[in-house]
Formats: sequence, C-alpha cells, structure tokens
Amino acid sequence: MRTTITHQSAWDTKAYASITSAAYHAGALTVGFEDGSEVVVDSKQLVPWHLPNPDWTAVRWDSHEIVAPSAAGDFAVPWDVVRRLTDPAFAAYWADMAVNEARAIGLRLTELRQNKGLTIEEVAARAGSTPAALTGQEAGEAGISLRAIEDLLAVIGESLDALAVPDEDPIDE
Amino acid sequence: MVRVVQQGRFSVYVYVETGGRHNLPHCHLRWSDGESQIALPSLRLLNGSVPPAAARDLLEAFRDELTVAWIALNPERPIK
Repeated sequence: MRTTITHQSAWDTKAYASITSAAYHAGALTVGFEDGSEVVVDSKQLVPWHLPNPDWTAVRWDSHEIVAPSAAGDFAVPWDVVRRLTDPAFAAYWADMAVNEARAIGLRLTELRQNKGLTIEEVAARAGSTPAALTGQEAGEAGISLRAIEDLLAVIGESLDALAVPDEDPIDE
Repeated sequence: MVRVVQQGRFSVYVYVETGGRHNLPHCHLRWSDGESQIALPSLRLLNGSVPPAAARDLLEAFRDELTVAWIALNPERPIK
C-alpha cells in the first residue's frame, strides 16, 4: 500500500482548483479561482501548436475548466493547466510527480524485460532503438511517450496492462 | 477534452495536454463532492480529494480505456 499524499497542499483544496471567472483581453486570459486568486495567462500557452486557435473572445467556464469554440470544436483547458502555468510551486510539484512516474514506469519496464529473459540490447534492436536510449528510459531519465512505451511493451510481448504492479493499491488513504 | 467514463456519480475526463515543459499522463476524476487527478497508467493519486473505494474500482476497470484516450489526445508528449 502506498500513501501519496501525506498532508494537504493548497492544490488539494477545492478552492484552489475551482474556477469562478474567465475573461479574455489582448491575447491574455484572466482566470479567477474560488480561493480569491486571479491569474493571467498567455492564451498561446494553452493550445498545442497543431490545433486551431480557439476564439477566446467567446470563452466560457465552469468550476473545472475554461472552454472556447474553435474550428475543431470546443477546446477545453482544465484548471490544473492554468495553475501550472501561473503557480511555480504547483508546477514544481507537478514536475516532481512526472519524474516519479517516469522512474516507476522505467523500473516496471526493466522488471518486465528481465522476466522475459531479454537483454537491453535485444529489446533495443527489436524496437529499432539503441541500448543507450533504452537504458535511459528504463532509468526514467529519458523522456518517453506512452505511445513509445506501448510499442516497447509490444516488443517484449506485453501490453499497457502490465504496467500495473500486481497487488499494489496505488490510491491509499 | 473527452469524457471517457460516466458511471453513477463518477465521471472521468482526459484532456489535450498543454502547459509547461513537464508532462504527466493523467485523468480527472470527478464526483458529486470531490475531484482528483490520477496518473496514467499507474492510477496513483496526484492531487485533490482521496477517491471513494467505488471510484478506485472504476478506475481499475477503465485503466486501459483511459490510457488509450490519453495517448490518442497526446500522442507524442513524453513523460518528463
């Protein structure tokens, strides 16, 4: 059993995570939260490059997200993205959690590969990668997408299911 | 944004990921009086309220669907 949260941080509170207003002006969105804070974020930071720009002048919101229409349909930005872009402490927390996840996935990949009796060199060759790249990924040091992980798992005869650690309850009180 | 699961009082959403250089696959679990963010595919609690036991079972049951939805929306985003 694992305890992820040992004390309540600001971002675990409803007030920190609840949007109460959103307005667009001159390329920036001003977003208000239930805790009384108001943050300003560059609208360009909210949309991946490959998606059409939403019409932020028509922005609407509920407590969880801000939404604007675009040529590809409504585009929604959840509260945590706004907070990560405007609260360095939350961004740092998120970065730590991302590192922890990458390491945990890397450890599990190592375990699964070894269970199959495969070497790093063998898996790298089958995956069209290099031993150095795979070593970094198993160490959680090299950025790897979930799609790439799925491909690696396929190479060793596993699927995403296998990333779950047996008998582990990841959410604990 | 895609709602992947709607069951009873629980809904689970996955979004196109933006915002900063650090990236962490996750979903948003919402219920009548709480919300939490859950890492994918590990299902570790990232922040927010501790989900009720029924929600944990739901997440387990839909782990694959949630992960696949995240990949579809964020195909090239590395975990870092």
